[in-house]
Amino acid sequence: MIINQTALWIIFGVCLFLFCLGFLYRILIWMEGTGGDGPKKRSKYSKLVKCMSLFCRALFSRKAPVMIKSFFADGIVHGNLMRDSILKWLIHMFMFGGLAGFTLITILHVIAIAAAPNTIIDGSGPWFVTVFGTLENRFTTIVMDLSKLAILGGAFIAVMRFMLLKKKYKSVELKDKSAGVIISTIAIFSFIYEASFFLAKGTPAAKAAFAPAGYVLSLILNFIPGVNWSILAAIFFYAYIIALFLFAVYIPYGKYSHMVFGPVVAVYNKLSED
Amino acid sequence: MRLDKLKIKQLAEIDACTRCGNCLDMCSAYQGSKDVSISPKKKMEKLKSAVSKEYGLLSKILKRKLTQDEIEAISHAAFACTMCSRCEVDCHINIKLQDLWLKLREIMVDEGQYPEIMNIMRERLKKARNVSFDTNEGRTDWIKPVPEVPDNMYIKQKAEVIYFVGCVSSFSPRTFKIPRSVIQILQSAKVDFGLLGDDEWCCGFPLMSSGFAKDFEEFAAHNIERVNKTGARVLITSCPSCYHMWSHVYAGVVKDVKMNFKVLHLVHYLHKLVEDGKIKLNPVEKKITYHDPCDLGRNSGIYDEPRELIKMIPGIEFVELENYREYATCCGGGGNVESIDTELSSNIASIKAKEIIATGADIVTTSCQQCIRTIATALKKEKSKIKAMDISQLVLDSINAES
Repeated sequence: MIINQTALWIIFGVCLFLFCLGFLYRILIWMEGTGGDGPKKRSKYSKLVKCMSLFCRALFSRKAPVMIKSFFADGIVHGNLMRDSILKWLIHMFMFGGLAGFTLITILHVIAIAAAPNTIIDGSGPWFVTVFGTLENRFTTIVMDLSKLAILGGAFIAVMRFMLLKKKYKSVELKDKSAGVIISTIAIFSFIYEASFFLAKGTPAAKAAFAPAGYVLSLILNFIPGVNWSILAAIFFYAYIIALFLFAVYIPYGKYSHMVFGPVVAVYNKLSED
Repeated sequence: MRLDKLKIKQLAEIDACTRCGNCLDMCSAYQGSKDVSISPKKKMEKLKSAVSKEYGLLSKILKRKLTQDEIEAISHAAFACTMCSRCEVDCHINIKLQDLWLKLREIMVDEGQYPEIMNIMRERLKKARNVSFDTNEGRTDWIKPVPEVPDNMYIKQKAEVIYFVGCVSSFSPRTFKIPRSVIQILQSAKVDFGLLGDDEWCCGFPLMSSGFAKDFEEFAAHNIERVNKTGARVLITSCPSCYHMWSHVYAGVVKDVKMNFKVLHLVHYLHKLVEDGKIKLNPVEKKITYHDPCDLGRNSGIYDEPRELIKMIPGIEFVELENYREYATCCGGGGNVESIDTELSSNIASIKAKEIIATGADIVTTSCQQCIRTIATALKKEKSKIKAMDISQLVLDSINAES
């Protein structure tokens, strides 16, 4: 399976740039608001600098442990949600945790492939490439596979819960449904990439089984005759990373900005309560 | 729309909202109307869209602006809210929704997009200094049937304790029993107390909660000055909204005048009187439940004192409602919804009444005259025999009961 490393760097670089630009754009919109310092008019950039300095001061103050605790308890683990409904919390943890894990491992996988000394994905090179650059590494394989299973599992529980709920609260928006379909499609592309990779490389079952879904899919796909698995793996590799990165780029521009801003606001409001 | 009146933090909160719909389950406005467009989740969605249209790059390029229909929809949702803060309890990322809804009303007032009835209330307050249609001279009319009232009707130059009665208790005959009970308790405890009479102005809560932020400042300044003049050490209120204003809002608004007295809600004060042995409580053999008023509970954090006070009365069997303390649901009387949308207010009260009936209690007690009005009406509609009474009435009954 041959990958164009320059193309990978370009895809990754452009997406990262657009992602960061999106956040700056959002944060500058916030700076249209008042800073709580009365009628004094400040420019957006001056407000931004003030906010950053307040944040840094809080980070290096005695409030730091509260901030870190709140970041994990309120922003990541969503303790309040757990107290409210275990089922809703499980859905959130599976989907959010799965997506975060899947995105992180994909970024590391892409960087490792792009930085590898050769263009063929075989995992040879420095330790970073050996660990993250190939699906034959157990850690990378298991994280990539299980994170996607978590996303699909969370989505499945959410759909079941919605179907079985007596009261239909109309709380699911079209954007949520579309995101569900898009993320599931990305996950399926990635499963096909895993399976094609195993078939192209002839990965032994003892290693491939660390990606249970990808391995089972490879056993099924193996029945299809006359397929060039290397080409298919490359196609689905590009398809899944481009789709995932485009989804990530959309995050700061749309509804899903809450994935990043939710924990920030949770920490801020917790600090102001204390 | 002047969304730049929102704080930086509030604009961030709009982006941070996951729109998970958790707040929908217990939102009284949504439950009372089944209209999802007025729910907190939809308000957030509309606000996010408004922010995008106001400041978004694409909107600037395409010169998109909020349409009149969109502004009206936001205004409708903003003024259908009972401001009970229940959504804030349900929000799992701690968004300060109550502040956001208040700010939204202020923005709508600036835009001139608010229910016409708010103007009537505003004019009435500016003219008569109270929310009723009466002049402020009638502030102490409720006192007449109370026995042993001195000639000065407790309107004194100097007093140790000032009882700030509030507009509803002063002018709504259905709640006259509350101030009457309060002064009888204070009489029996031999407290040196006074009333402000027609010098008492509305606390300004109806103005503040309707978005007329600038208008209530003079009310705050006047009331503080009048109470300071009496040399009182303690100010008590039986109204949770007045209490909220005095204890949480006034100091931030009137910065150049210091309050030389302590502000207590009646439940605090009664609790203290019982603890100090100034009043003796006799047995009341009744099954009683307690409704947490939004402005006393969630908005002021007072949950324990009323419960302890009720439990201090011998013979009482106390039972909690299904939703209590910070999870208590609204009675429908908050946020001026009663005057804006009577049907919605009545539907919310009806849900509350059913919850009360399910406890099998003989009496539902609370610490808010507005809750008493809405709950009593709803219980009547449900043909229930449960009596709605203020905690002061319960305490007075206990004092007067045979030991």
